[in-house]
Amino acid sequence: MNSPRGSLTSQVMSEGFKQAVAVARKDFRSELRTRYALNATGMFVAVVVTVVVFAIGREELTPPMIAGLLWVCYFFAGVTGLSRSFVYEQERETILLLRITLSSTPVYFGKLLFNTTLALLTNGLIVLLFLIFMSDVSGGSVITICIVTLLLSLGLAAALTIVSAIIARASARGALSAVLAFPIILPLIVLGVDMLGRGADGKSLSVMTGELLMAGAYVVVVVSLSYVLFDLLWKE
Amino acid sequence: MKIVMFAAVAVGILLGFWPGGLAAPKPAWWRWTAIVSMSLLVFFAFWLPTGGSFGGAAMVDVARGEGAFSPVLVEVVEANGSLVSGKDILDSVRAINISQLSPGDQSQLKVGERSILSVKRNSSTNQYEARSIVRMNPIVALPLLPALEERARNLYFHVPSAWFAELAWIVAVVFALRYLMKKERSIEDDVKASSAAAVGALFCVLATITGSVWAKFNWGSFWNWDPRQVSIFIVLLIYGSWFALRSAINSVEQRARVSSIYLILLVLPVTFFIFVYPRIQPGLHPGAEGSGTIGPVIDPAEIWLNPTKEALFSLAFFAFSLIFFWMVNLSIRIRLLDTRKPDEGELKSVTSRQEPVVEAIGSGGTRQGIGTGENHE
Repeated sequence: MNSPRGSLTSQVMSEGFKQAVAVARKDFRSELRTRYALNATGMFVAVVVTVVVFAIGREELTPPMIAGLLWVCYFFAGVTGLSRSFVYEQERETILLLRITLSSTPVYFGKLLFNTTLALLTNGLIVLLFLIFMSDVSGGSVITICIVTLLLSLGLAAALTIVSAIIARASARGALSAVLAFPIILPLIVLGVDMLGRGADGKSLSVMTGELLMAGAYVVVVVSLSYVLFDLLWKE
Repeated sequence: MKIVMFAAVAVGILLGFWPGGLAAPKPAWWRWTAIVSMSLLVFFAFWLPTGGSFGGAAMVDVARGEGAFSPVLVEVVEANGSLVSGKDILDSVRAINISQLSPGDQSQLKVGERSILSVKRNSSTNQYEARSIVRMNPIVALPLLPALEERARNLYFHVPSAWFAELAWIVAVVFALRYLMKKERSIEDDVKASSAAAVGALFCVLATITGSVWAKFNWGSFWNWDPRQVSIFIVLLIYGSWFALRSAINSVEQRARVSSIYLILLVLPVTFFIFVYPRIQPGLHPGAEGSGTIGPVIDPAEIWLNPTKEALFSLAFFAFSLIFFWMVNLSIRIRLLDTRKPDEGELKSVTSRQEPVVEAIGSGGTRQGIGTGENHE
């Protein structure tokens, strides 16, 4: 039965969805204008990967080492790029405009959408550079590494979006972002290092169903927890 | 019998909130109970003798491989000059050579007497040689744990510290939730949450120190990256990052709200690292993967904990909970004094006086009002 209430709910839902997409589109547009993430984060990734390549020299990499190096790059690229999403709104004092015009839900999901895209791009770039520059990495199962990276990017984006919203309220933001993000991302790091290591060892996805499920559950829990908490954070 | 232990924790927590809630001054009887139970714990944990069985002594002998002496609780069943037969708690009877004891000590070991003897095994004769009498007719004795021996006494301080490091976390989360859920938000809830977390961080450090000193003498190094060491390290980091966030926000209300939200977000990693991670990884602590138990203290099966140890653990949890809540109580009351708005009478007495008073406030300005930007951590 199509009750008026149901259609109203779906109307509100689609309205909220549109607003969320609008927030994300605004971020993409302002990103294309300033090109902060494209330049700074892209260069950051290139520099970090180059440092890693020079640091290991001609050392032969074991799968756990590859997993660890990949995670170091993901974590710091994420902390530099993704934790800015609310901070720069605060710095440019545009957060007030968002607060006046929108409720918390579309803002959160819009930012999450933007951050997820950014995380996928940066982590994709990291994996690509690793595959090109390190023969030890391309010796493993590329598909496994890519799919695990995709899942980890979702988790990183989810965790760093809410951390960014928290940091926007504090001073000394640069130093804080890594400190605050670390404990929240840690369960994902434990799972991710395990899965990436096995991927680099050439294992297929079917041997790590449990870990994949746990990482998926992590994303769901962090997003739903953030959705509830962000509302409290958004209201003055 | 485990029910006694959990009852001790429950009564301890109950006394933390009663009488008058977490922040009310504790009456004298309450404080004396805390002091007496902690003193009793220290006394019993160090004074009670360890007395094991011949089987335990043999295991120590095999493990150390140097003719090590271990305390064995025996009842003399037959005395025959310098050779006596002793029956241990598991009813196994062995011959003990007591020729090294002084004549006075030898005469004490009559048939029917119970005593704890320090003995070593002579593998060629399968006899035990006594070096000294540890205690005659002990009322109770702690069990001899072959891998831990006398070092096991640390259990009654290390385990409760770790428990209360984690319980403090739960208390902090409850008050953070209460702060966020209430319509009329009260800064008192935030003060309670942060005080519990501060004392919890202290207990976390205590658990780490008692644990790493113990690890040095039991496992060979101060730090082994055992899963539980990893988890306590991460809980320390988490406490640290929470306090880092708090010190980065100046407004008192803003700090209370944002840090409460972050604290609730941290429930996810804390739950994972305290309750899940040490149990799914192989490790040195009991309760790790493959050790057959989820932890000797909380395992419902009786076999993992000796009744004497259980009684001491109950006392330890009770004493630690009172000390914990006492520290939290003092911390809350000090911080509430810090955030308290001055009474009208005080204000009048300040404003009615002239200039020098302003200086006096400036120099003695440790008592800051709400929203002055002073951070209290």
